[in-house]
Amino acid sequence: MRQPRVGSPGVAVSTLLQAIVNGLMTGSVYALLALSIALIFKTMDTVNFATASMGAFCAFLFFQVGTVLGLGWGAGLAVAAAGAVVLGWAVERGIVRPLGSGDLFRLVLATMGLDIVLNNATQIFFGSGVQNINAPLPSGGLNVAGVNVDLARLVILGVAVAGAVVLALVLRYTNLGVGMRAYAQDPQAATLMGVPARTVSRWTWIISSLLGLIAAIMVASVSVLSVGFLQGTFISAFTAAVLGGLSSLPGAVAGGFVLGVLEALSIAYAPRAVTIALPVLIILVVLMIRPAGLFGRLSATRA
Amino acid sequence: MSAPDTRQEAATRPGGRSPIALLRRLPGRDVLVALLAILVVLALSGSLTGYQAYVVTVVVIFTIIGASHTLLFGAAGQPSVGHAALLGAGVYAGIAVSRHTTFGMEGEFVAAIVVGALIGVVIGLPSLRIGSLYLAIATLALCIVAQQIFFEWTDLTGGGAGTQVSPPKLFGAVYTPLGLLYTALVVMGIALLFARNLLRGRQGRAWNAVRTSPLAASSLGISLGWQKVGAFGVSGAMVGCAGVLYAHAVNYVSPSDFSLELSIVTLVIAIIGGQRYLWGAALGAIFVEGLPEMLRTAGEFRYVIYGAVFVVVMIFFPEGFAGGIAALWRRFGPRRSAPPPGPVELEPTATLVEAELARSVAAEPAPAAAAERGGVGLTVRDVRVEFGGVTAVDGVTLDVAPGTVVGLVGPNGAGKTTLLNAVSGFVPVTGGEIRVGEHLLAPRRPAQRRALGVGRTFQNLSLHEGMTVLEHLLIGQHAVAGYGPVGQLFRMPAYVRGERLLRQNALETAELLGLADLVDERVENLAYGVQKRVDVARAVVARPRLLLLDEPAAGLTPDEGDDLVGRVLVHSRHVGATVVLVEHNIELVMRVADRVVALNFGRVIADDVPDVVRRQDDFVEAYLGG
Repeated sequence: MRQPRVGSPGVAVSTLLQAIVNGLMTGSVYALLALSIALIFKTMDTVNFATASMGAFCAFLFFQVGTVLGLGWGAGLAVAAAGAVVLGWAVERGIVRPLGSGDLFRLVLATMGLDIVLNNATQIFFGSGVQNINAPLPSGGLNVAGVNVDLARLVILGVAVAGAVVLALVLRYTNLGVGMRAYAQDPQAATLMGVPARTVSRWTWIISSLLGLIAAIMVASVSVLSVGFLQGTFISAFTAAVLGGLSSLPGAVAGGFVLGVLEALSIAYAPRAVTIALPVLIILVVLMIRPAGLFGRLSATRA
Repeated sequence: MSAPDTRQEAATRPGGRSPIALLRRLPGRDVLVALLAILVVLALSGSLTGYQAYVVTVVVIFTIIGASHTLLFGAAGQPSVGHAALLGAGVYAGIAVSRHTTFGMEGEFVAAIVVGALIGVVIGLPSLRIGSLYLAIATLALCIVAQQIFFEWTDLTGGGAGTQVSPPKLFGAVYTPLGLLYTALVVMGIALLFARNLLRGRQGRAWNAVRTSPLAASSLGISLGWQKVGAFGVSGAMVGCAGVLYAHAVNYVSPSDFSLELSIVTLVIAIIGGQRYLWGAALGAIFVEGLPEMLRTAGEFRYVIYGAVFVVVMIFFPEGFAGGIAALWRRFGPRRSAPPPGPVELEPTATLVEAELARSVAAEPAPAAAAERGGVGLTVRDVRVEFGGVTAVDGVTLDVAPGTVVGLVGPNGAGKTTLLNAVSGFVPVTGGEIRVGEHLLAPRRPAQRRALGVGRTFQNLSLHEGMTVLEHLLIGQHAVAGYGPVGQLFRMPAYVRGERLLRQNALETAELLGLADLVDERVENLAYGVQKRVDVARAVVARPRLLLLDEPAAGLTPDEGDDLVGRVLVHSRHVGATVVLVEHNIELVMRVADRVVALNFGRVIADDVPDVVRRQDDFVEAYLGG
């Protein structure tokens, strides 16, 4: 898929534009999953390494109900969403709350353990086959000024932007959202002011789980569904979140789009090895030079 | 002076009549127990089937990897999710040697240890800049990139298809699976012995100090960067070593083996087994790698089971299997110690009178004599410290003559502690210069300042949780231990001699500060006043030539404060050390200091002998509000 480097100036410009458009579309998925990661980090000060396996498990539910049982994608979506809510609730109730807030690193490790459990549970329940979910997305593409815009990916971009906007509205205008923001800034003060810590924690995990589900279905609809299919996207989304500072939601979205474009550019212009190593290089460079990322603030305890 | 004597007696007295009790007195009884366990496995291994021998070998290999986390995470506090990369490095270094040279496993081990240590150092480099959560992220990233490199390096690794490993040879002899098991047991024995030797003594104490209180560690001359990266290197060498065994045990390796999941599994082994105990790694390896094999019926559920058990253990047994067993042993074992009834307190016995007396004796300290006795002067010239827009120290100039005690006083926010932090190197100086003796401090990192003789205490205590008073006093002597990691690794005479001297010196300092009866108590069981003494004792024990005391009496009763300051100053007068005493208790400072320097709003407002400062108008105004 290497693009030619030589050619007329017009070809070069359209190659560049094409890479940027592709990047923005891929980046929108990263942005959504990065939001899921950053939301947990911002509120709970931990990284949920089971983000991908939680989303993937629910995407399998979507496929099982909608396609295998033939109940249609509406029913599938409803069941998958219910599954995501239950899973988010169960993780919060079963792991996060019992572990408490004392040792954050233990919580990180526990989510890694959960990731192993969920990945293998997915394989046991749904098998290790590769599935095509046939999402109801438009096919074909538009050609705008020599740049090919895939319609399915355009819809995905729209869904991702809509998801981010809804989350922003919830955080800004609902009681729960205001409570979550207050809790993220100072858990103790927020609790003393009457913000219910448990409710905040519970809904943080549920919302994060739902975001993961949307991202999982989006990825599955343009590629395939298989055990661990979301891991690669998770690494990219995680990179995007680190790039955005881990604790900043706008940063996560910006990080997602920036990473998407950087990846597309490296596919177009750089050797394959650079593309493969890109997320890792970005994580290392950001952590070494500016751990707070593009937008984040770095608390002393985590530095 | 009776306490150290009885203690030494206790150490040399044969413990009871029975042979078991005598055995318990042997210094290396943990080694004997481990040797016994290895011999039992050896004796039973004759009756194993080929597959069973393979499972036991895998458990042994993962014990080594788990133990590498015991050093790195359990002691030094550095989490690594990149150990699969280290294992892969060891595996492929071994394969390269067996393919391109005529050496057998002897050559493979050497190559794998070197490569493992080097990659370990590389993975550890981010730890110089970032804390544990971000470090886990960075090592995770490195793990993924390493796996990609393995996939791409098809000449060596066979890419996605994997590669066959040649049969194990050792000095020309070809091995059976049982022979490999024997080799693995021997290698594990050596690796665990070296790991244990490193953990017991200066190196292990330094790692624990870095984990529990980086600030205090660097004030004691422990370089945080070297310790962390060094721990990664040692850990990498151990895992590289395990990689050679792993390659031969599984016969066929593919880059897909060295996944993030494997990294996490190795960390799980250490944590579930108990990351503070080397033998915990063996328990963790048996549980994670051995148990599912024993329960073959579990089949594909094995990963679900151990993932779930891991989560449960994290919640209910934070110290893992070994931690749980050790706690039970402490409670119900043959030499159970009664749990302390509550925080241990001390009756203050000394008074400031002795310290005052010491001042009058040293009333005319000739600088030359003081230099001979070890004190070193402190010169501060126009020093400024700014945080953002706030100027905490605003052009302070002061001189502390060698061997004198200077009191630094002033209201809250006057810049006293900031000035001490600038001398220690914990805050950057934005202007001016600080010298200790002849030496300019500016380019030196906090840990390097200990070499100039700078020692300090901490206002808000900075103790090492989980360690005993004696261990604090041994950590305090890190910079003067007289032996290095190599001497410690091989238990050379320098180590034995050095440890004996450190211990003796520690007990003397404990006696000096009235801690002699508490040397074996963990610091978190002590009352605040006693913890404060431990903090001071840790700074004093290595005889600093310039001692910075940051509010030693704060939070103590007046008697306790007088007692502690009195004891320290009598000692430092005796050895001729220079002391800067930051303290809010003005009366105390006036009674013991040779000079008093008063700060207000980051500036010096008074600098003279106590009786003059006491009458100075602006000093009185700053302090008493006019």
